[in-house]
Amino acid sequence: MSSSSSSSLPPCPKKMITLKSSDGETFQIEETAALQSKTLENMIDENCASTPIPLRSINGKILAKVVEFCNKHAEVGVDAESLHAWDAEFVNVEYTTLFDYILAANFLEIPTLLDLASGVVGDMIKGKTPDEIRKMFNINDAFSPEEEEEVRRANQWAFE
Amino acid sequence: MARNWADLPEELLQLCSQHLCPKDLQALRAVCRSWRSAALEERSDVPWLMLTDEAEPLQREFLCPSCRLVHKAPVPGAKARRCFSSRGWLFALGWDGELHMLKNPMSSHHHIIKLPNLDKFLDISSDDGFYAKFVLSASPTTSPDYVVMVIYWRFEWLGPISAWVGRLGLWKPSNKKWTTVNSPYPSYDVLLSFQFMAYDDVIEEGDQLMLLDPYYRLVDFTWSGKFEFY
Repeated sequence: MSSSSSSSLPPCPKKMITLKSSDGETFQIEETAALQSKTLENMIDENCASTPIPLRSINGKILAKVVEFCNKHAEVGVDAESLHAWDAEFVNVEYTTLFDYILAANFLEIPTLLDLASGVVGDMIKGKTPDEIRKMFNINDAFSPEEEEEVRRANQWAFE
Repeated sequence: MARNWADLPEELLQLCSQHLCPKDLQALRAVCRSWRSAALEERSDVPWLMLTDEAEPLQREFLCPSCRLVHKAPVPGAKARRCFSSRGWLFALGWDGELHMLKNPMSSHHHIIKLPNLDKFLDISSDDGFYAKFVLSASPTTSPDYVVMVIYWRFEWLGPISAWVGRLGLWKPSNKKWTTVNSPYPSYDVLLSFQFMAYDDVIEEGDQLMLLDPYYRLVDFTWSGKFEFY
C-alpha cells in the first residue's frame, strides 16, 4: 500500500472540492477536510459541488487561511499539544484578520475555527477599559456627550 | 456585510464575550452604541467570590478567578456581615441586623427585598446569638406567597443549665415582624423541653421540610408553621 498515512484508511481516490473566493481565486480542498464546514457539507450533499463553490463573502487571502486551517485539522496523527500550538500561531494575527476569520467561520459554520477566533477576542478584551477596547479594535462609533455621561454613570466601575 | 468591529453581529459578539467576567462585560457594553444595545447576556459564566466586608463600604470586593484580581462593584443591599443563600436568592445580613434578600444583584434586572430587622426582633447581638441558615419556601419572583425561615442560635438559660439552642423564626411578606416558632412538644420538665424545642438544621425535600433536633431525630414541618408528628 502506497498510502503515507499510518492508519488503515481504504485506498480510495481523494475527492477534491473547488472553492472560489469573492475576488475570483480558486482553492482545492479535500472533501474530508471540507466537511468540517457544515455549510460546505450541505452544498456537497446537495451534489452541487462538481463546479467550483462560489463564496462571495470571503476573499482569497482569508479563504487560503481557512483552507489551511481545515487541512491542518483534518490531518491524522497530530497530537493535541502541537495542534494547540499551531492554533495559537494561526490566530496570532492583526485584529482585522481575526475579524475576517470570525465572519468566515460563522458563514462556513466551522465551530473549531469560530471558537478559536472568538476565544482570542475574548482574551483580548479581558481586563481592559472601554477606551482601551475602542482603541484596540479601532471603533469610532462614539457616544454623544450626553450618552457618554449616562454610560459612565451606569458603568462607573468598569472605568476604574 | 460587517466591516468594522462595531458592526459585529450580535450573536458573534455574544460568542466572543461568553467567557468574560461581569466587569469585562460591563466594560464591553460601554464601548459603543451597537455593543450597548446588543442583548449581551448580563450573566457571566465566570463565578465571582464575594469577600467579607468589615466596614460596610459602598462597593463590595470580589475575587475573580478568571482575572486573578479583586474587583470592586456596587451591590445595593449587599452590605453584610454574613451571607446565606436559598433558591437562587442571596440573604445579606448587615452588621446592624438589617436583612436584604437579593436576586441577580450584579444585573440591572436585580431584585431587592428588605426584610424586618432580625437582631432587634430576636434581641440578638453577636455575643449571644448567630444565624445558622435561611430557607425560602419558593422564589418571590414566581410565588408572592413565599415564606422565609431562619434557624438562629442563642445562648439560653434553661432552668439550671445554659446552652446554645437552635430556634426557628418565620416571616411572610404580609407580616411586619418575624414570628418565633415554638415546638408544641410537651415539656415534661425543663431539661426535656430544651431537648424537644431546639433544632440544629432543616432539610428540604421538594415542598417538604424536615427539622433535625440535637438528637438527630427528624420532625416534619410545614411552611405554614405546623409540626407534624407521627
